Amino acid sequence: MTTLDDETMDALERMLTRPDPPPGAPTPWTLERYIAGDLAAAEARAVGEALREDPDLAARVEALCADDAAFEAARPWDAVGAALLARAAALPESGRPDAVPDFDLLPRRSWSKALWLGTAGAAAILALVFLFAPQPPVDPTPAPNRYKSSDTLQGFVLVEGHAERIDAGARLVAGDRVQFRVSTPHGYLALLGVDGTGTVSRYLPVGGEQSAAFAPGNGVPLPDSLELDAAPGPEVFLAFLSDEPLLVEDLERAVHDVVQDAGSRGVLAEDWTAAGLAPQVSVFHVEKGD
Amino acid sequence: MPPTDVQAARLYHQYGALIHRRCRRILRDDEEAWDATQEVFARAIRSWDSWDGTASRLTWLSRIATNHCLNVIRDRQGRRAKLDQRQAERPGAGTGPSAHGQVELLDIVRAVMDGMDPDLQRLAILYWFDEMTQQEIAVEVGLSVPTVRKRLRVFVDRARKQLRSGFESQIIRAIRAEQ
Repeated sequence: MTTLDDETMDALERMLTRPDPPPGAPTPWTLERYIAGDLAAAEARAVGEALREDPDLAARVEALCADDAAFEAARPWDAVGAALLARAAALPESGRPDAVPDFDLLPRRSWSKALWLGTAGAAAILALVFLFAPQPPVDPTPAPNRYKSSDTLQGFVLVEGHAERIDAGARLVAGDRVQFRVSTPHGYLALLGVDGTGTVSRYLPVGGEQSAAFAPGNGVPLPDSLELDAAPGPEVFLAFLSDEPLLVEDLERAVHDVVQDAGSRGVLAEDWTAAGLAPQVSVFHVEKGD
Repeated sequence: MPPTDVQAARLYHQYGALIHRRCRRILRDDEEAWDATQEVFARAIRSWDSWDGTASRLTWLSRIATNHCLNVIRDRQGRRAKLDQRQAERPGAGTGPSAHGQVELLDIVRAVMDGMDPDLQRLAILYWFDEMTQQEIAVEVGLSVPTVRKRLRVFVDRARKQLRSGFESQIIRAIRAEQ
């Protein structure tokens, strides 16, 4: 027993002095945040690059995603949500359940306050810059399957407040609301749509001339849902993903040209990746009608 | 104002698995982890307005989870006995570092954490269970990296003392059992 005690304490000591990961290498917590779509665009892009270069890291992420999928299969919201809401309603008001203890246990030097204020000021400026950057808000929706290239753009239809995943080509009706989640390492996104009449619509960016900054990750939800109109025929959605912002006008023109030549369904048949407009292009469509 | 059902569902869908995984690592018991996960989301829903946006939703949820898991650990009875019996328990519930000998490192941290100051408990969870770097912890709790390092050192020193007395008790129990 005494030997075991020494061994475990040695292990504890070794972990205390464990080296940090090399610069740029994602930490376990960063991977968790990556999977949850919780990273800023640049950070998520760096993680995506690291995953491509490190099979062990990719395997770890795969394992985490498998655990996510198992959790979602075993405890879907539809099965547990009502009980969870009832449990919440039965709780007394608790103020701040996230309250943390006072970490400031050690005396600090007087200059540290000035340093802190300076740092806080710089952080505030950075936060303002970030706030006014075209970042779409992360809006959680059901987690999809992950890591298949065909899953880059995943469609969901909102039914009675819940998001149900749909396959490409699913038949919907006018008035249905469609929402998307995107799995990509790229940090910029433009989402265009083509309806059955050949009209090209721009969904993202909402404003501006360039594709929107996007927090890359797996199954990252796009802000807001889209309501299908009454235009007949297919509704095709195209996500153009890139590491640098793209001119949306160029993308719209390219899509429009294909529609002119081959109609709305021609958009589905086009090899968009080969067209060289963006490093990654994902197409998703639904059919409209009863 | 409480969240809408859709907002609550979306929060659960995005973070449910992560929070459950985290609770499971900390508590090392799947049933307790699932109960803790429900409690975390119930508290988050009940205190929806307490999120002031200064931290991310994930950080907010993680702090709620940490507080609740520490309470669970605090409420557990016979912790030392559980540690003794660890070998007989089913393996694999934890997803932390690999085992060292017959008792996992995280079991040791979990067992000795109860008697620690709240800030040390929190640092221990962030460092050993979440595997955050000292830099990440410093950002999370608003301390300098050297201070985080010092506090973790304090944790290890106290753990060493607790463990020593704990294992002595174990030996005494084993001797009595043979008599």
